[in-house]
Amino acid sequence: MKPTRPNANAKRWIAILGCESGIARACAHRWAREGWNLHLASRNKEEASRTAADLALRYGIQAKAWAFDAVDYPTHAGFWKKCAPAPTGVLAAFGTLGDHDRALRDGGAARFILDANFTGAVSILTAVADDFGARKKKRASEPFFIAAISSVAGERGRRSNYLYGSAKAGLTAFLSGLRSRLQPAGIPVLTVIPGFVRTDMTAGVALPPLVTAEPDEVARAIVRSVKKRADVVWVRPVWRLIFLVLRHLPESIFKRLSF
Amino acid sequence: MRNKPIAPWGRFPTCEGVETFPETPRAAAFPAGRFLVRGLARSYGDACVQRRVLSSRKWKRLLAFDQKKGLLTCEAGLSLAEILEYAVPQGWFLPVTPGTKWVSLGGAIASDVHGKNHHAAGSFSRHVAEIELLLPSGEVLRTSPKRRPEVFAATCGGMGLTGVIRSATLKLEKIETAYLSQSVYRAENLAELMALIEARGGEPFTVAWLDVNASGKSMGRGHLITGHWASARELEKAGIPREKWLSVHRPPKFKLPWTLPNFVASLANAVGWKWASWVYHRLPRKYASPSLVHYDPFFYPLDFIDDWNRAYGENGFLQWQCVLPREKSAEGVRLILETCQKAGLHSFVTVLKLFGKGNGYPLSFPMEGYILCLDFNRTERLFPVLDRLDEIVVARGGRIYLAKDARMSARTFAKGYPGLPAFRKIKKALDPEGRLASLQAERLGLVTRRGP
Repeated sequence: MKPTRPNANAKRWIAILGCESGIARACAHRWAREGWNLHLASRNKEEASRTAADLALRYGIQAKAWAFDAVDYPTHAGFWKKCAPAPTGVLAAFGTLGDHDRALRDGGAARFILDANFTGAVSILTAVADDFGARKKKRASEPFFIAAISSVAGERGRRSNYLYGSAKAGLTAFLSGLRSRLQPAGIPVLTVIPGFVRTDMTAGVALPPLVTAEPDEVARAIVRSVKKRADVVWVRPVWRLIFLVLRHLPESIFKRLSF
Repeated sequence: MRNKPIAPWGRFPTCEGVETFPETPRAAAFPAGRFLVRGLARSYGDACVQRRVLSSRKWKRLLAFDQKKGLLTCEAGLSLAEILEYAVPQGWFLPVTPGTKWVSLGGAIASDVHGKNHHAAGSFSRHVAEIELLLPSGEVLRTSPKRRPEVFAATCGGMGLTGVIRSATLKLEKIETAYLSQSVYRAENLAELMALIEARGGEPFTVAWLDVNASGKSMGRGHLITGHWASARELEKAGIPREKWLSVHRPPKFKLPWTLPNFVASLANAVGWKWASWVYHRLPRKYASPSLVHYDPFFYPLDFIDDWNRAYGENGFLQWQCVLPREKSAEGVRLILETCQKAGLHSFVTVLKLFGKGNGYPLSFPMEGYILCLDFNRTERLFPVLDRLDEIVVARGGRIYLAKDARMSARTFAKGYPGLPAFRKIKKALDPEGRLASLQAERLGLVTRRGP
């Protein structure tokens, strides 16, 4: 289980923000297996440190746990500065489906959905991009990267979850802009579109098995796409087809669809 | 969320329900009202069945490992197989292991499982240094043999009813190699077999396979298998290459893709097994001359087929395992075998073993004496016979194993487990509303039928 030596990543660190999600954990295992050291950041630091202990024991890497709250913007810059040894890669895996019906009645809940999925990512990833941009100039050979998990829900607003959907649409647009900004510096930005995934977030939701991925399948796609310096990855290509159709439906028809 | 059938390993009884798989053991993931936590669902009966089930399958983190003392702390959903994958290459093994490695750590504690070394090493809980319990109230409680010992005692063998086992610290055993030196002995009747077991009690691992179909003078004939960990020198002598000395088990070779139809299973029951055991008994073997065997076939002979329970057909099967006090074992085992034969029941896999002293924990199964384990296809005529076997056992001061039970009466249970009142007291203190319960706990009167 220990990484095969020599380990090219022995001195490299990746930061995983929202490390307690099923997808984030699966990514952590895959990166740790490749010998990367990990900063694991979560709202729940105790859980993060349990995950850190596990990864360190299994793969003989270094892993550090951090308290990180995506919606607490003022702390973001400070968190990123503290996060040492300085990471060269970051995965933003935080987000929440929220309770759409409650959010329609309760402005606070609606705002939380937007912040946890979108504004929080804007805040931290901007700090990360500034830092990576500056460091890349000095260490051009380092494989810097930024990856974030968006959603098919962001492709078009649907009646049943358009708050979550609009936040993810914002995130997808933000990442696309960030990618363009960091392009001259040679830092890839990856947008991950997982489709349905069987995780805690979708527990209690009946998911169609044919288009539902396991967390590890998403992780495999993420790790591979980071290596390939890809721009956007649709974990299950069938989703791309589905949304090709859905995106081109005229609004006059789409608005009548009740899903 | 749609209901799905919730089944135990023996595929009986089942109920319609919902099983959820949270990433971490936390109170926020608890279903409302009554629920049960289960891991790999290897209990044979309703001990792992409930309408709302919280699965521990994703709770697989290793939390600490003390290389010097062999103390491993990990989350309760980790399977024994996964613990071995981590520990064996570093020269450590489970101090006690049941006959399958596909059970979770939490399940092993909750059933206080035993292995082939019970006479020497006791049951699983003897090697548990600490347990972290998550109570239905959300409170976290650490317990060990010294810290809140009454909670520890009730949790080991407590069938998951005292709280959700989040993590535990296990004291592993140092091994030089992953191989055992195995000897096989043949006995022509029960008296001979028991004498052999007593005589070979010095071996760390012993287990006997019994031919239930033999009657008359040969009644109770069978094989005794003994073993001890092989040293590096023995492996070197045998020419086993060094890189294999601490090799880990491999994944199962076969998988039964479907459940066999009932008629195939009952046909096997009617004719096949009777002759199979006869042939097995006469197989030419190198008796008494030790051979080197990897731990996987030695401890887990059935693990090479995934889902072997499907071979018993749609109706499923029942295991029945009892322990009898030592002085009443010979007569009791004979009576049980006679009763089965008169009723025309053939057990497929029959195991006889001598236990060492029990630990006195309220619901822990082991006590000093012989255990007998039988398994049968589920048929309607089976149930009255098993009731008669229960009577034989409790009349002699024995008891039935909860992890395998699917049908015993509350009376049989109460008679077999004198620690029951103590257990009820702890259960009341830790889970006053009776939220944690299996269908078995409801059947045996450990909680009220209608949950909160």
